[in-house]
Amino acid sequence: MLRLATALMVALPAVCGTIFTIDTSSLISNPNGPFTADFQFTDGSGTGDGNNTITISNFSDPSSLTLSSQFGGVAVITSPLSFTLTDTSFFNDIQFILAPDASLSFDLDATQNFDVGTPDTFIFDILDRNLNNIPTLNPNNGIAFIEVDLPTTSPTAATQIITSASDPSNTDGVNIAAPTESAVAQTPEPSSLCTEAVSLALVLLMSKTRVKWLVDGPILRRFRGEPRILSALSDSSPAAKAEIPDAILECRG
Amino acid sequence: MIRQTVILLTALTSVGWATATRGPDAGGYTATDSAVYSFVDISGTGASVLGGVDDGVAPLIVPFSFQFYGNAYTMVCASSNGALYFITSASACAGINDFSNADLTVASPAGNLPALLPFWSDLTFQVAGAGAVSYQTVGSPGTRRFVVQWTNAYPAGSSSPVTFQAILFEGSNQILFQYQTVDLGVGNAASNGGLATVGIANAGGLASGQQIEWSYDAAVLGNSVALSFAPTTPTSCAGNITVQVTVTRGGFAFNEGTQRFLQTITVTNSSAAPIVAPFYLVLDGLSANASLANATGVTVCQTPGSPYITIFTSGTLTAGQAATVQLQFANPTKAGITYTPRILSGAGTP
Repeated sequence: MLRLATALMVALPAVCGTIFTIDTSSLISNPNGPFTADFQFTDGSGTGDGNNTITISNFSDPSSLTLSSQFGGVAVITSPLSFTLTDTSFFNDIQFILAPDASLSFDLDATQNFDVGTPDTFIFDILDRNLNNIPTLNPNNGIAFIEVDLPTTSPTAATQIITSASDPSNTDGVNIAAPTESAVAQTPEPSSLCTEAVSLALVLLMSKTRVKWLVDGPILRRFRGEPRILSALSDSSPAAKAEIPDAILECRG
Repeated sequence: MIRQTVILLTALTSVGWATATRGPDAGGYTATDSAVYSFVDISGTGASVLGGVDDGVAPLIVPFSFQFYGNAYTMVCASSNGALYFITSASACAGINDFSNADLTVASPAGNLPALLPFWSDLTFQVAGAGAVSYQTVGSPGTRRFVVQWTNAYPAGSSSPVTFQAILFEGSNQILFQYQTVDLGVGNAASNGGLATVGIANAGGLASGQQIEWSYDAAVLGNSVALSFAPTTPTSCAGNITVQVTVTRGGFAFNEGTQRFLQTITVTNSSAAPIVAPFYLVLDGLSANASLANATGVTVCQTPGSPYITIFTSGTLTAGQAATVQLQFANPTKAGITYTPRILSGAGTP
């Protein structure tokens, strides 16, 4: 039974869907508009290996977005608006002219296959009317409001999400707080890792010996998505780790 | 009275012959006008191109591998306008438009190509009495010299021509500019380089600092003058400490405004020993489609020719401590960026 539950977890290729919400109220009637919403996905291997896909969907107001350019591995569905960015090229990018509402939200899903050394990276950034990036407080690049770094084989690496506010020193009069993120409400289905909760529940039911460890241990405290779970697992005691099936640990990959 | 005259002449002579140097630049090149002038006149012996041409170019094969800012070349593009460009295929020579010389401190040579600029000016061979560009290889294998000579090229608006040459030295990779006739007399604006750019520049040299501008629209040259440009020979090399650190690469992001790909690198001292500044990150094997726009320079020691960036210049990275640096890549084709990181530290040349 435990093996069955484990297999359920391992067979799931994608990270949990995440809803990002960006406060775009300061873009409304801003003289430095029109602004451009820019979604980038770069291939860490640099070879265009096409081993990961970012899916963006469920926009809060699709009519506020007008497609202006795309580059590389982009596929768009116009109704309802959604698109995928696949790292079949080093640089994969889609841009939309933004007619801003008070906020912009969308769902993000990502596969998470390894690239050695450099992560496949998704960023969401905003350009002003001169196509200059609105600077942000992102510590890595200074332009991303949302950055998602997919795993590498580095032992310490896992999927990371960084949300950042606009840099207060920007000259476009833009004031955007760090986007909020929340989990997509899940209807359990085998194609989503968000069924981890279900899997964990199964584990809890199937192995009484594990119940205490799971409840008391870091998994439930930090349960949010696979990377965090794996970080939690790595924090566990050696004895507990010995009970973690290898297949779960392989989810790092 | 005689003694005073001698003293005066000696003083003037000293001033007139005072040597000047430039560099080293970010690529480790230095320039000097103390080189010995020894014109190798090939106007009667070398092959010639561009005779009768105005604003023309011609690809020339260099019969040995010549290193320029760490890159090896076997082909140059000779311009009638007193410039040589390093190219990797003859097609890169087509269409170069360089009749208007530029100040290298604010603009790049034509096409942002790696360039030798012995007398970059609006010159023409399309007038009566004009010569051509000649080229010839002299010397024995191992120490050959590739000579390119502009003979009787007429600066725009000048009734008198200039004759000069550029010489590429095999092995040492030295570059020598020699000026046989550039003094066109008082009142000629083009005289002695008054309307010319003189120097060398790597591709992207304006951003990387890998260039030396000897002069721009300044009458600082003279007949029988030689200028030497040569890569610095290091006396000691910075230590390779790659095994002592962990290099963690961040993902790439593209800045639309600057048209640069950005990447943050974190270097953590994973050894027990402190690492002493200066501290360099070298990108070996950087893919040809990309260049490190914020490079400090290119390596001279060990694996020469790789771009590097200084992470910090003073202080110490103790055990477990990390330092970060942001890389900015120019990558016009947006093709993949790959490289192998190497970490150097300590006194000595990267």
